[in-house]
Amino acid sequence: MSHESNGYPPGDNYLNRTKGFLSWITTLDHKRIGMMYLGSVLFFFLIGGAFAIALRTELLTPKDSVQMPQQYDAKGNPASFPKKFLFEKDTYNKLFTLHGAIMVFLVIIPSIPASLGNFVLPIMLGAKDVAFPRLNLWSYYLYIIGTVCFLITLAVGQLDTGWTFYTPYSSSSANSNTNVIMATMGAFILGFSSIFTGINFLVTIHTMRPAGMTWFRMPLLLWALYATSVIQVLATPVLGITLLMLIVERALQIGIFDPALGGDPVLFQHFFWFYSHPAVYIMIVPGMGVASELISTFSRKTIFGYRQIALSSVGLALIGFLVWGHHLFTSTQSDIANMIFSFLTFFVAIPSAIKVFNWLATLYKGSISFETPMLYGLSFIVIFTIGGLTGLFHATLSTSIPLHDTYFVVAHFHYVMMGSALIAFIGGIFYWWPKMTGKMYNDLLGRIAAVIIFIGFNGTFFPQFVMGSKGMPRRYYNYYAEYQPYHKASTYSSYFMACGFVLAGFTLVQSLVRGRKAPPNPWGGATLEWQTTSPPPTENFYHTPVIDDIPYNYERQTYLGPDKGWKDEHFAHEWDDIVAHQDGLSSTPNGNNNKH
Amino acid sequence: MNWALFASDLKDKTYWLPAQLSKEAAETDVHFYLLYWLNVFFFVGIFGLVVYFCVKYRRRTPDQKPLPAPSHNTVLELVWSIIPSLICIGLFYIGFMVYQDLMQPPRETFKINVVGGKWNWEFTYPQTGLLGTSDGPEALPELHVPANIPIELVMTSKDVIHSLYIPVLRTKKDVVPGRYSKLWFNAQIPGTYNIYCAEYCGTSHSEMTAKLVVHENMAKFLEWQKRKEQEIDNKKPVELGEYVWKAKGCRGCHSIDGSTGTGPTFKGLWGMPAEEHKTWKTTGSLTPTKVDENYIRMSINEPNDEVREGFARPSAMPSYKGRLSDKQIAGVIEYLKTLGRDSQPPVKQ
Ligand code: HEM
Ligand SMILES: [Cu+2]
Repeated sequence: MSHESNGYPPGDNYLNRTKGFLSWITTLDHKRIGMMYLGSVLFFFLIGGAFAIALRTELLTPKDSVQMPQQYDAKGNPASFPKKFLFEKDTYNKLFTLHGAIMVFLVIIPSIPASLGNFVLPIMLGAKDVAFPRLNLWSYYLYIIGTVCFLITLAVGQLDTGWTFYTPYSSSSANSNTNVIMATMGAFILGFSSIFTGINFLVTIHTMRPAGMTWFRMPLLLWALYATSVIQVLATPVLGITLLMLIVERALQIGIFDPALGGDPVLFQHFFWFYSHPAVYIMIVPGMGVASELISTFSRKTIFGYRQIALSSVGLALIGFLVWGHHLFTSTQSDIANMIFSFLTFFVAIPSAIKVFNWLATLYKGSISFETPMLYGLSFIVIFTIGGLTGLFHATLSTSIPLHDTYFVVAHFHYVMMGSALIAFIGGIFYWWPKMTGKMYNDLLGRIAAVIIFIGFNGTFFPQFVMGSKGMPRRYYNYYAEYQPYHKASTYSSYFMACGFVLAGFTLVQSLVRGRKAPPNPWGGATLEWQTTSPPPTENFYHTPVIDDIPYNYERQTYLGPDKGWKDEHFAHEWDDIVAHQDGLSSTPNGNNNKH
Repeated sequence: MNWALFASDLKDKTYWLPAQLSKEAAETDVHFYLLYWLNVFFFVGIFGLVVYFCVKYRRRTPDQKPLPAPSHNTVLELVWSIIPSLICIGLFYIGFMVYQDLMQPPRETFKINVVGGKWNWEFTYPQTGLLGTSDGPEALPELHVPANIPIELVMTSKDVIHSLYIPVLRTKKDVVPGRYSKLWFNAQIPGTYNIYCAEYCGTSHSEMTAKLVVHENMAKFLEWQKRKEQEIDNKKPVELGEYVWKAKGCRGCHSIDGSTGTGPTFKGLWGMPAEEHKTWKTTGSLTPTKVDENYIRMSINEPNDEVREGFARPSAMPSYKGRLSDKQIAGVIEYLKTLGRDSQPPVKQ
């Protein structure tokens, strides 16, 4: 089979095969769908980030710095809300709701699985596409529909409940029931989008692995995506049930969550976290997968303890279902329940710890280089270590009681969701960018941005640990002046971090305009996506790959120089074909072989 | 170990934590610092190794190969699975033990009722008969307690879920509508400390703060209470009456909105025509009775002398004889006048 057999001219790839807006929104190509997800996710990250900066700016000033004449109406409610700094209390509350909801549901959850996962999963499997390409496109549409639904409710409905929508606050007064139902509906449609993606990935991984790729020869990202998909498929329906109950309660006036109707408001928290706790693993497990790829590739060493990492992903997915009650330690849940949930929670710490040790052992005696993606990989290890270790404070019942709902928690989950999951996502973007776009970016700029983000991140969120342990509660517009130094440190660092993100974005955009052409394998990656052109053709490969080894065998690679990247002996017979297509050269005759 | 001493030793804030007011807080802090140093140990170890490996094994030439190293090692992998597991089980155990102390009140406690509502806290002292000072939004809500006596808060909410959080006592508990939650503590160091609402509850969530005022002992606490009562007695009669209705337990049975409780509502009571208001005399006859100053005074001091038609006999109401001063009774009468047939309901301020 020669490369000409794909019937397209050299230089052809998934980006230039067809053209025009319509060709994108009707595409069934997993790579294009992945790119559309990527664009959407980054767009919402920008919006959610802008809200975050506004929130942080407001928090520069404490309560006492501005005289606040309080006035009360006849019922004793404050009659007007004087501005403290930038905006009023209600605005602050709406903004943190928007920020949290956007970051969780529109950014982190779909980030790695739906965008990067969609792009690389089939290629890593040596497949032409996912198992159900139409379903894949439909998932993207659902994401968009859910997003629109969600944003309209949040914005028009002026929801100020926080992204957790706790009843009875969410179902009373300022927030009409319809708003909560609509927002949950939005989250549910988004949930369906991820269920479909999950099913698609599960079936693809089960049925489309190439000859020779046994389960234990799968790259670790695939294990991570597999585990994530299992959680998505199993947990999301609970969100639907919750929604149904909210509707039934309203329509039939049957008390479920509303104490006024005889319902139990704490029950909502159980349902909410039964979905949202596993969702936390939907966020972090793929990040761990990406980190494993980065660390292995840039150490040029097979990942240490491959099976342990793979199985710990699955372990996390399973135990993640049993620990939701650790969000309810102060909720009047019984002491016995608290005891059980505390005990189980410790067992999510262990797979996480194991992975960190394995990554460390992978670095040991490696050949470590520090291109941009690796800096994010290393940031991930360091930040995730802090995020994971501080989780112990929340799992231990005695310390969890005072720290719950303070800034200590805010810091903890930002270390995990932003510092780890999001950093892995950004690292993944820089890693696969040459593959996705065919362009190399300015590595120096990329590295500077990564360092700024790392420093800015820690400067933003570390002070929050300190003020949290000193008692600063979360979701506070006002605070006593004793906490101001920490808020200031946090806010100024967040500006610094924002500069890092802007620079990172600039680096990527600049590469599209001025970047040099990417070789097929710029980093020396050993997984299959590096054994095709950058960007790949619509069918991904010119030859169906066959696997006969673990996924991280770097020994048979040779370095051809910065412009040509790395060449893998295992694929030597296809190499000329790949290069020919890559460079848009006309064919070379020895692409013809039927060995595989 | 003498925890009280320990507590007063550490009374000044440490870098990470606020002042420490109870034995339980001291125990919690021991865990906090245990976890803290465990965190520091693992972080420094991991971070140190990352840096060390990155420097030592950095790639010097583009095609430098890694040094030979095993790709897995069962013993090592078991070690780093089992040791963290043991540490975790240990942490779970000690955490749960102290948590039990934090949650299980001693048998004898001084009970204080707490009602959370958007956006203030109301503290009442059923055992000594005082309504807290949080009454009315203008007042800074304060929770007064005597030191070295176990206090138990019995808490509920008027509207949404709140959470009472006292950092210096390292404790918090949600305050849920339609249910009573309990929180106990034994504060050992007199002073004034912050109380926060820790569960997001809307617009002024961040202003739903209060002060915890710890008095040196029960005597000092009662002294404060007396001062407070005098202060309240100096209020305008109507305000005093409303205060009595709230603080002395009247409102448990008598509504002011017309709804019938264990006792008759106060709404429209004043000036009610005698024909509509029949009472059982001690003689056993049911007769129309005019509601006036005398009737009210009698109902407060000797509730059983005349019981309103339709309510339990003998009266469910305890006698307040000697428990309300003349001034307070006069206040109640003035307050009832504002709730009468043709008058407006009381307006705050
Ligand atoms: C630019 C970086 C970011 C900054 C400066 C920032 C800042 C903040 C602030 C000030 C709050 C409100 C805290 C409170 O009062 O409770 C908050 C809440 C939150 N943030 Fe971020 N954030 C950032 C990025 C992220 C990212 C990437 C995520 C994605 C996982 C995220 C997830 C959350 C969540 C889930 C909450 C809780 C929202 C809630 O309490 O309803 N943040 N953040
Ligand atoms: Cu509250």
